[in-house]
Amino acid sequence: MTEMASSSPVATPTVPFARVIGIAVALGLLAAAPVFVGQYGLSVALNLFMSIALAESWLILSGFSGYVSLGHAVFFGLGSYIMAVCFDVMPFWAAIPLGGIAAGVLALVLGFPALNVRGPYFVILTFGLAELVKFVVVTIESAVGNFGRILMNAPDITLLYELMFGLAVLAFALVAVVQRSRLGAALRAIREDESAAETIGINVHTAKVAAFVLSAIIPGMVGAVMAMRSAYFEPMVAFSPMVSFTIVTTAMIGGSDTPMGPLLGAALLVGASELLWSHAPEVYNIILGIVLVVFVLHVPEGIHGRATAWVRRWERRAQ
Amino acid sequence: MNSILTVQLLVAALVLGALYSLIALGLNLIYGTMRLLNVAHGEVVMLGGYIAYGMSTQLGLNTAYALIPSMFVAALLGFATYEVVFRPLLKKEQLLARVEANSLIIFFGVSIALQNIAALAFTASPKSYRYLDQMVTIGGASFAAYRLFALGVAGAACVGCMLFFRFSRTGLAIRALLQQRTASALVGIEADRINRVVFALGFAMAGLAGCLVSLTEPISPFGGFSFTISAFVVIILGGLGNLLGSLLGGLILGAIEVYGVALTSSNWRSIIVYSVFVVMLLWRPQGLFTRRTT
Amino acid sequence: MAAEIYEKLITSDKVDLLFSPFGTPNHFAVVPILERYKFPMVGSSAASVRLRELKPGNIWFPTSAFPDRMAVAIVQLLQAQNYKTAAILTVQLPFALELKKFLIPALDQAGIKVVAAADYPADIKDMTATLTTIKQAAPAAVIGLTFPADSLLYMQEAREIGITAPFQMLSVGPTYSFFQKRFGANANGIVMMGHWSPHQTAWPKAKPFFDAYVAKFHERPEYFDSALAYMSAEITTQAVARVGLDHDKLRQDISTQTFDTINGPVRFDGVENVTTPTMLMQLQDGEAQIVWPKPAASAPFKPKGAWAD
Repeated sequence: MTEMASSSPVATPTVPFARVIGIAVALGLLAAAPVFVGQYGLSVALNLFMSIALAESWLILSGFSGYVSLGHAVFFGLGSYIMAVCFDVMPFWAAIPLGGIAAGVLALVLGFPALNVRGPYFVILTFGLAELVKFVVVTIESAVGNFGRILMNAPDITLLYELMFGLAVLAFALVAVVQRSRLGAALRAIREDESAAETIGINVHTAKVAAFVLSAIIPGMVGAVMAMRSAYFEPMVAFSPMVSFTIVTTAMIGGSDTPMGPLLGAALLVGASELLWSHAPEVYNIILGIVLVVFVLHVPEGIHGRATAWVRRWERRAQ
Repeated sequence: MNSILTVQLLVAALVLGALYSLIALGLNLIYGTMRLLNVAHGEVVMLGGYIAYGMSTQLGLNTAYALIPSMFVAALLGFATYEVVFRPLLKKEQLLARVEANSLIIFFGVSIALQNIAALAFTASPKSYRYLDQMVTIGGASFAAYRLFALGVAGAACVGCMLFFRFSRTGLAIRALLQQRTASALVGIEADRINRVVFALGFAMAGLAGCLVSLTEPISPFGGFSFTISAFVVIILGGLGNLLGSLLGGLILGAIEVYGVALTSSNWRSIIVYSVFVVMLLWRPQGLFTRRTT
Repeated sequence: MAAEIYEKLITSDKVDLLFSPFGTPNHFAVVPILERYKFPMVGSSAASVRLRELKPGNIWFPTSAFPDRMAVAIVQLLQAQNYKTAAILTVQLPFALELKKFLIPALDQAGIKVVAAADYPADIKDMTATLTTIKQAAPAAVIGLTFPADSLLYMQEAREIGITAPFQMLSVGPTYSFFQKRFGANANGIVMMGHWSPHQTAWPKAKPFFDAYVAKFHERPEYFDSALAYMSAEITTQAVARVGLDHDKLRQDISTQTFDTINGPVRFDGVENVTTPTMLMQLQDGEAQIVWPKPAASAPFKPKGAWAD
């Protein structure tokens, strides 16, 4: 499923100037999107960048080390909760990083014991932890007499879009940095053979926990922003397992070994969802489910892996 | 709660537990032999429920008649799912390396598809019907007969399964597979035949459980998920791949739910269930009944 | 998702009229969109006190089942029957929790003692322990703030355990046709929320709607949300018939006129329907009757008898 071949952990070639300019222009255009696209287009773009931010963050632990987290919704949900609770008592631009920090702390607390668990047990453990936190929040909210929280006068979608775009860029950058760092190398070694990694002196537990914490911060902030988007917080929705599943799917379809992967995965899923729901609303979920199955079976390396393989074959033929 | 030693609570725990055992057995079979995380298991349960509902309302046939057809249809679905989706998965080396995560996404896709097909075909309104509604008294406590029917059928099915695994050749082959997963995944045709049986059997048990569930819960396209989750908790309690463990684990979970609520209060119900889950995974992931293997 | 769909319908598909989505959260999601584009839409299946905080002008809610008023109605009915003790069951979902928030002080003010209360998560599978506690407390009223799945669970287990309170209410669930099919005679006497009944002869359109629905779908309509949806459509079509499709004229018309619906006359003040009183319904002999308030009732309240075997 996740190919090792493509990434080069240590060598950092100098980045050509043209490329930097190109990327800057692209980013500038995307940031200026509210000028070009209508309200509806902006909400699609918001969803796209939300998907990217979440899937990229997920990669940091789960993509590189192979420890698949099925409970990432817990960080998203916690960020939303923080925003819902703090919305009336502090400016939102303070609540967003608070959400991120809270998510990071949660990852530290949960990850410390959880990352000792291996393989499939870890996968379902993350799921169980997410559900546990969800029901704790549900019980707290109902005990204090809340029935959902409303965020009155939340900021405009343009501002939310810019925030989400920023988070997506941040997430991408974070993944790229980790990939090239010693942490990234350690994580990949863990994926290859954890016991071997330990014997050559890598502190696997620290590496995993660090990756888990890093993978939690941005989803916490994303959750905080999305709470403002829906202007409504309800724990059963904010901590929904569907969020976790969607993140995993996005990352795996795009390719979970490189920061480019989630871009492609998010583009495909959000794009397909847009195409399908407006023309075949009743069956779009069914088709989506089938597309997922087909993808995992026949494009296991993700779109990015497949595209890279094609490009290589092209280049070879061109020689 | 004055006393928790009542017949009422005991039967409640047994019925719930038996249902959990049945559902978890099917899930554990598939997981134990092929390491596939069947997130769509709850949807197969709902399918069984729809069949029982349909037969009761359209054909006027009561649930006892629906048991075999549900199992049959579910088994067919299991065959089809294996042939179309999982044989290719198990054959590809690179997919096998991450088979749990991959199977998760695949079954998730299947689950989404099934839920929405059901919503299209049956509408999202919950469905329910009546069967064996008379009251029966045991030891001073009253129960509706269908609860005892569910307990009886679930119990018989679980026992029947265990006997099958103990004494039949296919059953023994499956148990062998449960113990040598990695080797079996790379062996050819023999494993294929058994995998097919496992899928069919696992799905059939879910379908059967669905008939029983339809007696106590409304059937809806999206109601299967909570059963999938409970089944996972049971499997962890009993041990992945440990069939007898699933049986006992189901009863234990039923007891934990019913008595846990009795000792605390109902708003802790889900917190208790998930705490047990998390604690088991952190402390003893191989389950209560399995010795830790290297 | 609802917000985006409605936004697309307005901006991209440029529809003339909109009908409401389902459920309170979706209504909340859609209202900001309606405000932004000044697009009037009549709501349906939404009931929350927070709806009053919404700016009037482009949204109206025909339901009278606002939780605070419902709490008052429940307490008044209990007082009229001289019931002095109550037990409350609440599923941990927003609507039920909102009801509970208003119910407790209302009961307290009326001097009705809450002898047992329990909350539970939505995926609960067994209520034996909780219901046994309630039975032992022997309240005159069991007020279940429930949703369909737990309403079903309550019915099964309350019967087994033998809860004989004369007032038993399940907020959401009894209005569905599956509920009556499932429980037959045992469903009689269950109180539920709602404000529409085909048996209210003061509303000439009620019975024809019921009959037409049964003829077309071969089952009864769900008494609450189906009726609301139909009313919402009636109001919209009547307004259009009067003033055409111009949004400003529609807004003016819906805000001021009285509409003749299957639920009787409906007139809005702000976002709320002020003509339809908050009611309680009860299943009697397989039929849904309005039992409170007395002037609007189609049948008197009957205490729930013993469970049929």
